[in-house]
Amino acid sequence: MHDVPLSEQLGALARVDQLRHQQNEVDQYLSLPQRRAEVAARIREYYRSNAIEFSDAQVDQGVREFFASRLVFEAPPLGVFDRFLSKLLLKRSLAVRVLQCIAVAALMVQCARVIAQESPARQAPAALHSLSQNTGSQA
Amino acid sequence: MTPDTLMGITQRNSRTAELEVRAAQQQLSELSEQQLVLEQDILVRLGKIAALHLEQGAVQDAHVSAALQARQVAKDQAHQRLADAEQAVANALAAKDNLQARIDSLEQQVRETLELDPEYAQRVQALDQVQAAHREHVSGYLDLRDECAQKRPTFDVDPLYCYLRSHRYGTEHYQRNRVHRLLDNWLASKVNYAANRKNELSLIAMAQRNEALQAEREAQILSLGTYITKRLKLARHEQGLYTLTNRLRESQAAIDSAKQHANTLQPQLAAFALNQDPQYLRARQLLTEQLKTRSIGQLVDLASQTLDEADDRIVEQLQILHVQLKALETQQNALQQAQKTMQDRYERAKNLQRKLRIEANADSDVYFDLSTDFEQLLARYMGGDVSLGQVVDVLDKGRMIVHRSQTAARQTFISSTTTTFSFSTTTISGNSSHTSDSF
Repeated sequence: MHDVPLSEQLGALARVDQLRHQQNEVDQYLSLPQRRAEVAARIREYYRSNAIEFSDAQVDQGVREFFASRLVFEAPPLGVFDRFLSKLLLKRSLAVRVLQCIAVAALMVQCARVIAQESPARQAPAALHSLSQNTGSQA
Repeated sequence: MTPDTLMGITQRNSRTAELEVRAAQQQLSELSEQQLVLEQDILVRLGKIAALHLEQGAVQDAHVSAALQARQVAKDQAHQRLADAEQAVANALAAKDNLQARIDSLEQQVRETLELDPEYAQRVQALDQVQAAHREHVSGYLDLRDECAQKRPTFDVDPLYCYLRSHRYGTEHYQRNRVHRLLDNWLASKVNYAANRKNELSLIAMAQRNEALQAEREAQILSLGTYITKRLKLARHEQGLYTLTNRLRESQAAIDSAKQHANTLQPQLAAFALNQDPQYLRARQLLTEQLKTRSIGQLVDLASQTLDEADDRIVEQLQILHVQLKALETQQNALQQAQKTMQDRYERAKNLQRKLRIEANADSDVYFDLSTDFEQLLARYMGGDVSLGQVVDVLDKGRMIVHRSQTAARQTFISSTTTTFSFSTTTISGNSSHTSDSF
């Protein structure tokens, strides 16, 4: 048998533990009928031992409602500012895209301006050069 | 509770209601006949009082007597024919019971022999365990499925949560730059993302595991059931049980035929019970003709006014007979009311039986896990406190489809291991009524 590196062993062990934990958790969720029955039995026992009057229907309803509230989506309500900001953040890719477009447009404008400025400057020496050639040939 | 048990209880109930109706009809018929005889007796005595000048008194009396005698003879013959038919049904039922007992005994032997085989015994035990775990109140399959179906969509509503989820926030696949990460962290804190995502993943895992477990249980039941059925079939074949089963079927056909014959005789007796037979109608017509001008009461009053001393004795007797006649009429009215109520009860019982025959198909893998005592419910239904729809609702709520791996397991539905306990309905209905249970 080859030597197993400790790092591999520990890594695999962590993964296995994670899977075991997940499995246990799911199994616990799946044992809903038994858990409801157990909880209801405990509550009845408690009431009986304390001589508190109760009806089975109340206990059953309470336990059922309690378990109905598990695994539900719960988010705190947002304030006006948080709501606005979150909406903005949700569309941040669009904002970035707009900014990018603006930047590209600005760059293009700048480039055009530079080109426009540079073209008369380039054209002036060329005109002078052609003019001097013309005068030379005439002479 | 198996469909067999349920049907047995309703059949017994129908039979009881039917017997009550028949007893009331019989009693009513006897009362009517007594009334007729009493009326005739009064008219005979009135005829002896010359002052009353009753029309063709003696001749009419003779005709009435003849009609009543002919009626008695016809009635006795009809009763005899019905008794013979019921005896035939009883004989056929007894033959079927004997055959059934033989089959049960052989079936028991087959299972005892099979359970000596450790592999078979182990699979039967495994099947019992799987079936027990497969029950809804243990597995909670439907409950969990509904829970997942209801709660999953709530995780697709919040846009912040959906946004983060679409970017796989919090997983190893989330690879956004620092700025985005910072902004997403802020968003996640606003929707309680970590806890909600954990709940959602748990729901998904739970739904998958629930379905997987259900499929696993069904596959196990199917596999174990197939094996056990196969072994049972082979063993039954070796013991010649199938031949006996065919004979049992023939026996049932004989019972049905005998019952049908008895049923055809019923209308004849019913005519006597309801005073619709020709002899009674003839006697009644003759008496009506004699009394077409005056009632018996008026005639008795007139007779009491005659001066002849010899008539006085007759009048005294007539007055006594007239009081008796009145009492009979009152009794008859009360009995008619009672009979009507019993007839209604019988109709209710038959309606329930018909409905259950459709609802609780005994051949399918149905089991009724009822929250209430069915006999009590039946009593309330018969009393009119509960409607047919409510009874059906209770049955529907308690109805479960469970694969019954082996026909032998009908003796004890929960445990298919060897046991002497049996609740076969044939025994219940057969013994309780050796005549017929669905006339």
